[in-house]
Amino acid sequence: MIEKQIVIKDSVGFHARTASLFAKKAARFESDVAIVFNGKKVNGKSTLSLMTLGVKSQDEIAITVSGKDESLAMESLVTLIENNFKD
Amino acid sequence: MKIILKIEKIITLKGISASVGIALGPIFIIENEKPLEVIKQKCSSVEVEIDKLTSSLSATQAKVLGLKSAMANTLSSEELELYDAYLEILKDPELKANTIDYIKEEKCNVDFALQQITSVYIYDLEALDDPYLRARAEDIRMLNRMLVNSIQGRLEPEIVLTSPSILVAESLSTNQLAAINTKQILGVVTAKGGKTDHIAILLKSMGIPALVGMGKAISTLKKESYLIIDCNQGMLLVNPIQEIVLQYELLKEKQFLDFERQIKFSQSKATTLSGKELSVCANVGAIEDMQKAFQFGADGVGLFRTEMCFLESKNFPTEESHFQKYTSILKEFPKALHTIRLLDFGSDKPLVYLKNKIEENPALGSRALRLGFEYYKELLKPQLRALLRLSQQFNLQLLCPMIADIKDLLEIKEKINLEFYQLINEGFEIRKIPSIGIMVEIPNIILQPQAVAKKADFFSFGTNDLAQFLMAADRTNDRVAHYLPRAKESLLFLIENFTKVAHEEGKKVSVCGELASDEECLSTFIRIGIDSLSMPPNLIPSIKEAIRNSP
Repeated sequence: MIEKQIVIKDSVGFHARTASLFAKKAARFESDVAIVFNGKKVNGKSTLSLMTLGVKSQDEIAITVSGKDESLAMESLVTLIENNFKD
Repeated sequence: MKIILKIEKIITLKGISASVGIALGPIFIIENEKPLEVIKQKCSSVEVEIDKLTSSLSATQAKVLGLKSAMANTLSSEELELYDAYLEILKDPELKANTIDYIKEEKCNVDFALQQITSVYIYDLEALDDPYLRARAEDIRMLNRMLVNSIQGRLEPEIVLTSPSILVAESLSTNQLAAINTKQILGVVTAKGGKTDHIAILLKSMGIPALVGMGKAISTLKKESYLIIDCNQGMLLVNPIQEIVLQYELLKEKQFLDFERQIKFSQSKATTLSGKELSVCANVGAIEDMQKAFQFGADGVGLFRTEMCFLESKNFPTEESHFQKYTSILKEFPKALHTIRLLDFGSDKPLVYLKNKIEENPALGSRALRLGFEYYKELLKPQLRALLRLSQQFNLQLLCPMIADIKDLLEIKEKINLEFYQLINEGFEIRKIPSIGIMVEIPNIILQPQAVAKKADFFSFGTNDLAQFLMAADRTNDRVAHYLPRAKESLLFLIENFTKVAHEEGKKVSVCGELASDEECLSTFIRIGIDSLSMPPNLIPSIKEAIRNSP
């Protein structure tokens, strides 16, 4: 299992669009993806759960990935966030 | 033999004219959405319920895709991404898994299980302290509604107009309007809404006659009624007798012919019989207005409203989004002089991204540049930078709204100056700072014309706001709106007085409010030598004709 802290730079945070882009990307991998924020851990492949976290712009979240393709999954997801959700 | 005419009872109802013209035709009533009915029931087969869930999820996905392609030409690519987000929510693995678990555990019907699961997400979203995220609860509600309707086999009320009709509704959303074949809409009548609603502005620019704010009266309208909308008088006629229908048909025909004739002559400048020239410019708030401004012979754009950039955005609009939006509109009329009004809205227009406080009196609150100064970096700065960059490519001048005194004017001039040099330092090539003018709408600014006439480059009278401040009557409040027309004489007096001083300083004065297209005021404007009038594009041809017929 690998874990990484990252800051969400999008001007709103995890809203419908960004949460769905993240979940869509996460769903492409075998590994389980989870997001931890404010003491709450949710499934990173679920748009709805990501939205209900209430992650705002400049908030720091923790991504944990565990499974066969975990390092590639982590790299892709971190890149997605760093590129501000532009593929 | 005596012929007895069967005279049906004529009803006339008062409303607010949100557009111009006359419409005659059969009624088409748009029903309100009915509340969902979801009741918990024992199910006979868990598998059957799960199958229903799977098929409703895919049916709803197909529906969302359909909506997306229907809106493809109306919305920006960024706004279209919202539909992709809806699709992802419908594919959400947790939504499906949790609903299946609920069905299995409770042995209940799928629509109930789904409603229970989505309500948890809605509850969580509504508990967030971020207003934008909180507002997403509405999206989940909408998707839930679509899913439940699909499970229950209920058809969503689709508005299908098969023949030209007059739409009657409690209220009409821009989304609903986009889904209707607008060629079939003769006119629109709504119970709610005011003149300045997004939908009203849209209808006016499309040239669709509309009456809004009719109130409860519309509930008396029956399915088989025949209606006449008279926007000139803000009146709706219900089941009029044949004689009246004929009169209105003639009037409509006459207005159409008049307009055809006026358009023909509208491309050239309007000069009075004694040789005085008066520019007739357009008020523009969207791309369609700009196309009409060009088509109907505007001599320029006297008021370019920039609200759409702020109100249609889901985040603080960036410099780039301002730049692109304005470019797309300006290039429809590239050679004109465009008077761009800076940010002009207040807390009466809630924005998802701006935690704007609710004010008891938004018209007198932190609106327009006051709001722009308060949120300078987020709101005003990107707009100023985009406009300064555009001034290199287009002929622009900047109009500053809600200037109360010289201090306000100096503050905005300093800001524009600062951004100008910042851009130059960044390597942008901009020849000079555009002219900076004042929107004359706060009475304080008019009382001592000498003080301001020197400091600004040009002036434009916003007579709507000026009238509401002069009469202390909220122009969005139906109960006191009748005070506004009574300010006419005072307005003309103030305009004359101010223009005299401004002209002594060699500054131009224009009028861009409601008064500009009031033919009764035209002779006064000509006498005092107003430099230009600015109005909705479709009124330009008739005003130009009236100028040509003036002494």
